[in-house]
Amino acid sequence: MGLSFIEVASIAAAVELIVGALKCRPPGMRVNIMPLYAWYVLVVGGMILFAFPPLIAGDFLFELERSFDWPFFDPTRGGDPILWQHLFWIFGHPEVYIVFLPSIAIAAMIVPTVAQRPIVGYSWIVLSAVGTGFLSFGLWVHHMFTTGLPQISLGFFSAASEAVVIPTGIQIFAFVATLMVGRVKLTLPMLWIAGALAIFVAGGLTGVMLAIVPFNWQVHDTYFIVAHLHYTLFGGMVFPVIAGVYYFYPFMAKKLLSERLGLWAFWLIFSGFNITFLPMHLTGLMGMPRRVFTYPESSGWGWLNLISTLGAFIIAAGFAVFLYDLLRPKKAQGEIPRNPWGAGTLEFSHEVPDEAWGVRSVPHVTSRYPLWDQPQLVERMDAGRYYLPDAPDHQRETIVTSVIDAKPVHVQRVTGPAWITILAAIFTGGAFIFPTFHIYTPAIICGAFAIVCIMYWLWTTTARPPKEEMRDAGLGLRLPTYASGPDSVGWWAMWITMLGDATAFASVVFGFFFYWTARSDFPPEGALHPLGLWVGVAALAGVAAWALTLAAREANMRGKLGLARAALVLAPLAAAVAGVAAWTAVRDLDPTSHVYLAILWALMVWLVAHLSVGVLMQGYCLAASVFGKLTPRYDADLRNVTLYWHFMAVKVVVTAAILGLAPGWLS
Amino acid sequence: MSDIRDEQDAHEFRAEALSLWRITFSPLIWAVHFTVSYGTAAVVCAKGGTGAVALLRLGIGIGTLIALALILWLAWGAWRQWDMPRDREWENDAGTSEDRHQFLGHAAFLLAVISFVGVVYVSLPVLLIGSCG
Repeated sequence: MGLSFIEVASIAAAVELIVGALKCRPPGMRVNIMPLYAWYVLVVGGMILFAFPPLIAGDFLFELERSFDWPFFDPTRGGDPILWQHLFWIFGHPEVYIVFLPSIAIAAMIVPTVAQRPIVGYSWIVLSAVGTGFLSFGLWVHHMFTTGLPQISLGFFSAASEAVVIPTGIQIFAFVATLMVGRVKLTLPMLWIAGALAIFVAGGLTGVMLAIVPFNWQVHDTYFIVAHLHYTLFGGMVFPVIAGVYYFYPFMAKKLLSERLGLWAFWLIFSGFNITFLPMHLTGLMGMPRRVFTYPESSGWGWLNLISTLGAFIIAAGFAVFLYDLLRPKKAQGEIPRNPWGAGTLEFSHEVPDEAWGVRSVPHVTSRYPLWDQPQLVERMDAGRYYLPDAPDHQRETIVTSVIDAKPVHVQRVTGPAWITILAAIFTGGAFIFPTFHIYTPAIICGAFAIVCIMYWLWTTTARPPKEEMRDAGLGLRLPTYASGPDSVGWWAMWITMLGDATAFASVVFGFFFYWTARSDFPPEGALHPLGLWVGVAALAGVAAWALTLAAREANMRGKLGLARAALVLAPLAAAVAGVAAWTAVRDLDPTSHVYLAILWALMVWLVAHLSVGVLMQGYCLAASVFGKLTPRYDADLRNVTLYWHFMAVKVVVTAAILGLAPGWLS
Repeated sequence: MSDIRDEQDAHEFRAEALSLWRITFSPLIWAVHFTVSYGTAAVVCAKGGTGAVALLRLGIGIGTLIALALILWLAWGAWRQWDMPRDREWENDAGTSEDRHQFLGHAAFLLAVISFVGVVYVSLPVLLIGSCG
C-alpha cells in the first residue's frame, strides 16, 4: 500500500510534468527551442505513465494476497512468484532511467552555461532522451537472467540492454563536444558534473558487461552488481543533483553556496565514493554475495571490505560538509547578482530579492537562450511589457499555449494556496497507510473523506464559468478565459492519467495470460467458470453507461439540457447494473482456492472500482448541470468525464471477454 | 519568398503541427516488434510442440523485415523533412516555423536510425539461438 501511495503520487507528478512541458510554455517557445530540461521531463513523464502502473498492478495483487489470502504468488495454489518479479522489474528498470534522465537534464542546463555557448547537438540530445525512454522498457528481464526463462527470451533483453547504451552515450558525447568548443569556466556546478560524467561512464561500462547473459550469470547477486548500480546512480543521479543544488541555489534561496566548502565536499565525496565502490568490483568477482552481514574470514574479502568501510566514512564526511553549507545561516552574505553564472535560460530572469509573483510578465521567447540572444528581455519583463502583466481579479493566472508552436490559447486561472488540498492529501494518505497495518475501518473513512475533499476542491476551483468571456492578455492580445475539450489542460490531464490507468489494467490482464503460459494447471481441471449470462449483462450495461455519457455530452452541447440530464441519471444506473452483474458472475467462485479464480476476481474488483469512480463523475456532472456550473458553453467537466468513459468502455469489453470467453479458449 | 509561398508554407506547417507523435513512430515500431517477439517466443516456448521454434524464428524474421522496411520508409520521410543537404542547417535553433519543421524531421530521422539499430539487435538472438533452451 505504501508503494501504491508513492506510485499514485508519481503519476500525478507525471501528469503535471507533461502538461507543464506541453501546454504551459511561454508564447513563442516552439518545441525546437524549448530548454532541454523540458524535453527530458517530458520523456520522464511519459515513462512514469507506462512504468509505474505495472507495479500498481503488482501491488494490487500483492495486497489482495496479503489481506485476503488470494494466492497470486503462492505456487501451491497455482500462483507464481515470477509474476511479481516481472511486474516489479517492468517498473524497476525504466525507473532507473526515470531517476537518471531528469538528473542528466541538469547537466544539459549547466554545460552550456559554463561553456558560454549553445549546446552542441540539441537534436541529438532530444534523440538521446526519447530513444532512452523507449529502449529502457525492453530491459527489465536483465534483472531476471537467472530465473530460467527461455534462452531466446533472454537474448531479446540482452540485445535491447546493449542497444540502450547508444542513446545514453550520445548525450555524453554532446556534452563533451559543447565543453570542447566553448570557453569553460570551471565553476562548482561544473565540477560536480565532471565528476558525474566520470563516474557514470564507469558504471555504464560495467552495464555493458552485465547485459551479456553468461557474464551476468557469473556475477548475479554479487558485490559486482552493488558496485555497478552505485556507479550508475552516483554518476547518473547523486552528483548531477548536487550540481543542480549548487547551480539553482541562487534561484531558490537568493543566496550562493560557499566555494571553499563546495570544493571540500566534492573531493571528499568523489574520493570517498571511489574508495568505497571501486574495490567492490573485485569483492564481487571474488564471489561475495549481496545482502550478507557476515562471512568466514577464509573467504579473503575482509581487506577489501575494510577499504570500502573506510571510503564510506569519507563519503559521509563529504555529505556532512555539503549539508552544513546548505543549512548554515547566510544572512551576512550580501545581495547576489540575478544571474550569477551568466546562464542563457529563463529561470535566471528571477528577481532578487524575491517578489510575490513568479514573473512580472510572461515573455515572448524566440531563442533557445533568451537571456543571451534577446536584448532587453529581462528589463521588458520587469517593466510588465509582455503577457499577463497584471492580475485585475487578484487571482493567480497563467497563459496556456499550443503544444508545438506555443501560440497563446487561453488564460488559465490557477488555484492558490488552500487548506482543502492539504486535507485531501491527508485523507488520501490515511486511505493508503492504514491498510498497511491491517486497519481497515479508518482507511475506508479516510477514503470517503478524501473523495469528498477532492470533489469540493474541484467544484469550487476548477472549470467554473468565468465572469468574462475574454481577457486582455497584454501586447494587444485578447484571449478566452475558459477552455474545454482538447484545448483545456484538464482534458490533457485526464487523457494522460487514463493512459497510465490503462497500462495498470493491461498489467493485470498480462498477469492472467502469464499464468496461462507459465502454469500447466491454468485453468485447473474441473474449475468453475464465471456465469456467462451475467458476464454478458455486465458487458451490455457497461457499454450502455458509456453510450449514455456520450449522449449526455452531445445533448448538452446542443443545448438540450433535459435530455442531457436524463442521460446522466440513467448512465450511473447502467453502470451500477454492470458492476452488480460482474460481481454476480464470479460470486460463487472461491478466490482463495486457486490463482485462476483469484485473478478472475481481481479483474472483477478492478472493473467495479473503476465503474464506481465513473459513477461519481457522472453524478458530479449531473449536479454541475443542475446548479449551473456546467452549461452548453462551459462543458469542460462533461468532456473530461466522457473521455474517462471512453477508456471505461474498453475496460468493460476486455474484462467481459476474459471472464466470459477465455475459459472456453484456454481449456 | 513571396506572400503566396509563405501562405502555402504556413498551411503545410500547420498540418504537421497537430502532431508531436510523429517523431515517436519509429521507436514505437521497435516497441511493437520487441513486444510481439517476446510475447510469441514466451508462448511458443511454453506451449509449442517440436518444430514450433523453427516457425517462430521464421515468423520473427519476417516481422523483423517488415519492421525494418517501415522504419526505413519513416526515415526517408524524416530525412526529406530535415532537408539538410539543401540548406546545410544542423541546428535549426530559430523560433520560426521552418526551423521547427526541420528540427522535428531531424529528431525523427535520428530516432529512426536508433530504432533500426534496436530492431536489428533484438532480432539477432533469433538468428543465433536455435532453441528455447
